[in-house]
Amino acid sequence: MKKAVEKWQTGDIKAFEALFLEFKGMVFKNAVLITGNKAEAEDVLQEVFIKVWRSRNDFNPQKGKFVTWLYRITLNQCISNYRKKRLDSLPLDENLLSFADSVTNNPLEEALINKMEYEKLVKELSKMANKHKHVLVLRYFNDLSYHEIAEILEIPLGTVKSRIYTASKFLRKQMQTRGRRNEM
Amino acid sequence: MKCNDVKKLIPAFIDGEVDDKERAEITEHLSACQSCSNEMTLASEFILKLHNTSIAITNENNPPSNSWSALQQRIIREENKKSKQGIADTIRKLIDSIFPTKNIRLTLRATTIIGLSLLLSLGLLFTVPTFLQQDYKALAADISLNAPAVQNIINEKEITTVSKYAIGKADDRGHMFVVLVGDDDYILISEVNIETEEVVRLYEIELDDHTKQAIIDIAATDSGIQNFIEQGAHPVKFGIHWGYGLIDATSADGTLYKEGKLYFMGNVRFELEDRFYSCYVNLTEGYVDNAFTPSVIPDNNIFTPLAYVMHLLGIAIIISFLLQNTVLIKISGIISIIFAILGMLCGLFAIQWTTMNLLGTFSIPVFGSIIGAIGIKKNRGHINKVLSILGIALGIIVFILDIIFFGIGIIVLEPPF
Repeated sequence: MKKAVEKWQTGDIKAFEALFLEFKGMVFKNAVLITGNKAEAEDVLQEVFIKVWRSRNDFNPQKGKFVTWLYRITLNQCISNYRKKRLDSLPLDENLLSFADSVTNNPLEEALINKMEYEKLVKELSKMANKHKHVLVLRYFNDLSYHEIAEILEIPLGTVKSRIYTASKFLRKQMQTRGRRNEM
Repeated sequence: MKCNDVKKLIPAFIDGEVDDKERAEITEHLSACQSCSNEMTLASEFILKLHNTSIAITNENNPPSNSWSALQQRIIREENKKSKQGIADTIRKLIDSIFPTKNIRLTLRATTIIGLSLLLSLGLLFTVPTFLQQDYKALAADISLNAPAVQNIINEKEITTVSKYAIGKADDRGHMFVVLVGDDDYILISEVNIETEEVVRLYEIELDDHTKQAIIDIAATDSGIQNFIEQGAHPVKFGIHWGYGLIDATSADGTLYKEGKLYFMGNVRFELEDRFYSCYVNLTEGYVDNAFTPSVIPDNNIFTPLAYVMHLLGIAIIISFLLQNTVLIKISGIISIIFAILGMLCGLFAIQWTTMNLLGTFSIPVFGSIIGAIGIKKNRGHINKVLSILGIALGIIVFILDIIFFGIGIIVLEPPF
């Protein structure tokens, strides 16, 4: 990947394609989780990689990893799209919710997640403040360490810990409340 | 460690993000606290659920298959656009890097334009005419001085000081005139063919009694002089000069061409008590020519004070640019046009070649250009745009006219050798 990054910085489109193929899944998944909308996530994916291409001369490998930089661009682009399109007023993507059906058809996952759980999660996540949403997405959907999260969000390690505590407690409570309401 | 402290660290504990000391303290607390232990169980289940959801999302949520081709097309479009704007961008970036902030950019640009225009004007003034003429002039002067006929005259007349002036440009035949000796009493001029490098003809005149009488006779044909002589005036001071012009001629096969023509001129001053009357005559053609020499300017020429006023206006305009006031720029735009027209008139009516005039010659086009540049930059309304373009156009026209009517003429009449 280091070579691909070096080549991309010289304007090599093939190297850039390799980087795109490597990271498009990660960017798209995070965009889906943060925006709660697949069409929006497609837009974020395009914008993120256009920015990556344009900023090839600005990225300094001495200052940090490419992937850290890419996470940062992705989160910022999600915020930017949110502001631009007032995402809070948009309904959740029906296609996204129907994905849960496909998950339940997978026997391996069936025991762990069901349609209702998934729907609840995405809905509650989309309601959360960005700062809480970001730490949860980075930690539990990207499996990043607290240190890496601190680096991406450019905040102290202690802040990462407290945000994860607050965010996870809030999300769990919201989901429990919804769960009880649904059971009634 | 208290319950609240433990609960806050539970997610970090599950994620393996606590240090050894914290881990030991939390483990100890959990073994003794049912409430925290329950919280740990719920949090662990929830976090496991999140992880599992993550796996499902990663497996199922793939971006559209055409996402790369869409991105690639967009990049190609951008790159094509960028390459078209490349030169303009480079220039803009260069200017921006030279002029770091917007506030000082305009002032610095104006100052740069002034500097560059002055350099250009100076360069053109002193290089173009010299470049066109100097080689031929030096060549013509050498040919005439080395000619045996010229040497014989110099020896016969025992002339010790020889000065050499090439007059005008080579005519269509390739002939030039070179003044070899030109003092108060004797003038020797040779006509040189610069192609064959030969002296074609020699012209000489001496201020002897015969010449003096010829001057008086021609001057007397003027009714004013004649009247003055009849009143008892007598000649007190004589002088001889040379004159040069290009005339239309026709060759044997009927082709029209320009031919250099040399004239000998004389002047005489008649005196009667405290009154004087000067007269300039053309000795070669035999007529009175009072306005022969181009360096003489009547004191009452209205264009002389006008030129000085214009120069002062020019200085005022420079100051207004530095003040960067929009109203002043507008006023300056109008003044510039008036200034340029007046400058053109002064150029046509032969103002004396002085330092002030030299300043005026290139100050006019410089002001016109600057006003034009700033006016276009400001881009405020059609009137300003028109004024700006007129400023530039007039500036250029005046500059060319100044060069034609002054630059070449003056340098030719007073060559540097």
